[in-house]
This record gives sequence, C-alpha cells and structure tokens, in this order.
Amino acid sequence: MAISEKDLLLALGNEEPRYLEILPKLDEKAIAILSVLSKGNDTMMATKAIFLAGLSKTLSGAVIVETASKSAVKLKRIAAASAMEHLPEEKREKIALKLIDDADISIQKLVIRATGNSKSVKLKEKFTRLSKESPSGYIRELISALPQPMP
Amino acid sequence: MAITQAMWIHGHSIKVEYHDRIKSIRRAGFFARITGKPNTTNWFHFSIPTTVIVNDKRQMIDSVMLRFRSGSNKAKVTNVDIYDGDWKIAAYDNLGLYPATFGLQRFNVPGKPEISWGVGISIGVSFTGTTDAQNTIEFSSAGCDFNLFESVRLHFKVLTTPTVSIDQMLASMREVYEPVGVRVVRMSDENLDLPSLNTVDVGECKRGITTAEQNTLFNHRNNVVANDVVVYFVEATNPPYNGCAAHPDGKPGAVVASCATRWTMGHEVGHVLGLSHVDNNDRLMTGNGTGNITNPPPDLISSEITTMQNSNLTVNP
Repeated sequence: MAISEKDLLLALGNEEPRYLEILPKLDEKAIAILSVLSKGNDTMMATKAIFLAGLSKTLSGAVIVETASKSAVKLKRIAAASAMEHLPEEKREKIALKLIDDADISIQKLVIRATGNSKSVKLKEKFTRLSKESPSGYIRELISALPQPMP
Repeated sequence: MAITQAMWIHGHSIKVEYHDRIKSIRRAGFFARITGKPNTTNWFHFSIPTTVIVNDKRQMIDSVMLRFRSGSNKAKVTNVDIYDGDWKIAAYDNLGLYPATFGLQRFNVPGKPEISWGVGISIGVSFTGTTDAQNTIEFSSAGCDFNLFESVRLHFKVLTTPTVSIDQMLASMREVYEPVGVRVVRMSDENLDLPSLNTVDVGECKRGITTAEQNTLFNHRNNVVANDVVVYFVEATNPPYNGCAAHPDGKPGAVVASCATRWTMGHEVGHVLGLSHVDNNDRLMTGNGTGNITNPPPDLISSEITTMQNSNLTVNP
C-alpha cells in the first residue's frame, strides 16, 4: 500500500530514516512530495528526500536528483552525489559530469565511487585531470586506486 | 533523586558591592532591607557555606535559591550569577524579578559541575524608582542544593560546525538528561581536519555494524579514556541522516550531521547508552524525528533511565 504524505514526512523526519523500508511504499504521488521537499528550506529533510528519490530508480526520481545536483545549497549537492549511484547509468554519468567539477571533496569522493567504472570518455578525462591536478591527495589517491580498463 | 547537601545563609549576611549607590541598608532579624539611590544599579553578594567533599565524594551543584521581595517594579533583580570560587558557573541575565512577597526563586546550574572552592551568588539589582519605598528590596535568605549525579562524559570532535550550535545542542541535551539524574560533562573539544570524512559513510546505520569510514573516524580519540563518549560533528552522512550512533566496539560515540536538530545529539548519545526508538513524539527517542517533538523538552521514561544508569558509559560519582 502506498505511503501517505503524513507517514512519509514522519519516516523521513526520523533521525535515521529506514530508506529501504520506505522504498516499496513509494508511488508517483509520494515522489511528487519528495520533489517538493527537495526544493524546500528544510535542508535536512531535502537531503533525505533527494536520496530517497534516487533510490526509487524512477524517471521522476532521477529528475529530482539532477535538479539537486545543480542546487546552490552544498548539502543538497552532496545528497545528489549520494543518490546518483542508484540512477540508471546514462543519467548517473550526466550528473557526474556536472558534480565532478564541484570543488567539494565530499562530492568528488561520492562521484568517483559511483562512476569509477564508467566507460564515459568525458568522465575519464575529468578523472585523469583530477588525478594530476587535484589539490587533495585523497582525491588523487582515490582515482589512482580505480580499476584500470583491460587493454 | 534526593539532594545530598542543602546549605543556606541568612539574608542579613549580604554584602554590598557599591556602597555609594545605596541610600541605606538595615539588617534586621527578618532580612536585610536595602534602599537604592534612584537610577542606579548595584551588585549584592552571598557567600554560601560550602562543604565541597562529603564522605569522600566531591559534591556537584544542582541549583541556587533566593528569597527576596521588592517594594515595587522599580527595584528589580536583573542578574543572578553563580560562582565556584573565581569561576562563573552559571549566569542568568536580563531578568526582571520583583516579587511582592517572599517566595523561593530557584536558579538551575547547567552541567551540575563539581564544586571546588565555595559557592558565591552575585545578584544584580536596578533601582529606577523616585521614592524610597519604590527603591527598596529585602533579602531574606540564599541557599544552594548539592547532589551526586551519574555522569556521561562527552568529547566533541568537530569536522564541521553544525547549524544549531554545539552549545545549544549540549544545553538541550542537559535539559533532558539532568532532570533524570544524568549529568552531561563536556570533557574536551577538538577540531579535526579530515575533509575526506566530512561526509562519512554510515551504511544503514545499524548497531554493531560500521563502515570502513566510520572505523577510521572513530579511531580519533585523542584525550579520550575508555568509557568516554565521542561526538563527531560532520557536514553530512552518506546516506543522509541527522546522526548515527553505530560505532566500533570499544569506541563509543556517534556522528551528528551539520543540519541536525537541537535534540539530535541527546538522541544519538541515548542510542550509545543503549536506548532504542519509540513511536512517541513527546520522547527523546522518538523514531519520527526529533524535529517533530511536540512537547519540549522531550521525556525519558523510567525504563530508559534504568538502561542509561546500567550502561558502563554512565559513571557513578
């Protein structure tokens, strides 16, 4: 049975939402509520909504994540980076190409982990550049530890 | 929770800081009656006899009390500061107290610190009346309650400063913990420059299960002894949570995200002490989010208090 708006708000309000328990109850109406929450001023709630939207693996969920990836609010972009690993590859790479240019190490870390095996040439180029130019030794090491493609 | 010591001193022992600002002071058997000069402020002091150690136990201050009455709303108590020797341990400012009859005004001391040097109470008073009757205030007595509390000892490791200040989170936690007899002691603060862990992977955040990043983060326990609890303030968790109390064995602690509520730290430390979620928004351990708490401060019930007291992370005095 689909989750009501009240129950969805309570479930996401939890300090530690049980995303996998909420997931089967999501319908399009609930995704629409997530969309509203993702754009709201309650940043904590917005980040939870963005993550759950990505987890839903729906087209409308992906749109929520993509929109969040362009947000001026860093925590929303971090949530988008957290969520993107659950998106279809094409969508994931599109968002990754945007987020990998973010100066924030947390965002770069999540993008690299989510798309490290990507075959996208553009993304590989960005990883190669970061592996040489990133001021963060951690990011350079993370990229160098990615599995190398078969020759 | 019975108090261990209650110490009082009579009102006519009061000391005046600025004698040139008072018109008269009369010490009677009942009280000390002070008439201030118009448009002056002054400080009055009580020294509370303080037995700092009883039966080999250093006492902790619970609260101080004053009995006084004012001739009008033109003779107001504006400040009550509480000292242990030269250390100010509590300050109540911007008060406006002018009771017409003697009652008991209690001032809680947050953190319930151990007392070392003797308790002093400093009382700020403003006199704004035009007549002596208006500018008169009478002090009958001052006292202090002492107690012995179980303590949970917290160390704060800060990767990102949270939106709700750590001071506010600590004060909120004390609002919940102290009334049930658990003192929250701030042992240390440290900033950690760990950008790669600022958004920390916490997985599904289940008790006893930790990620590699949690294991790395929780290794940072400088100045922390075995049963102390560390709270790591991070920018965010992956996935997004307000906080997460899952911790490696032998390294008790929790992470708190930068957008957490004022109650999140108390909630997460509650998990560390063994508490579980409940479906009740009047309680600290609500599973519906501390942002939805309906009747602040939230409650801890007796079974939860027992669990906390039985935890080896709460230290007996």
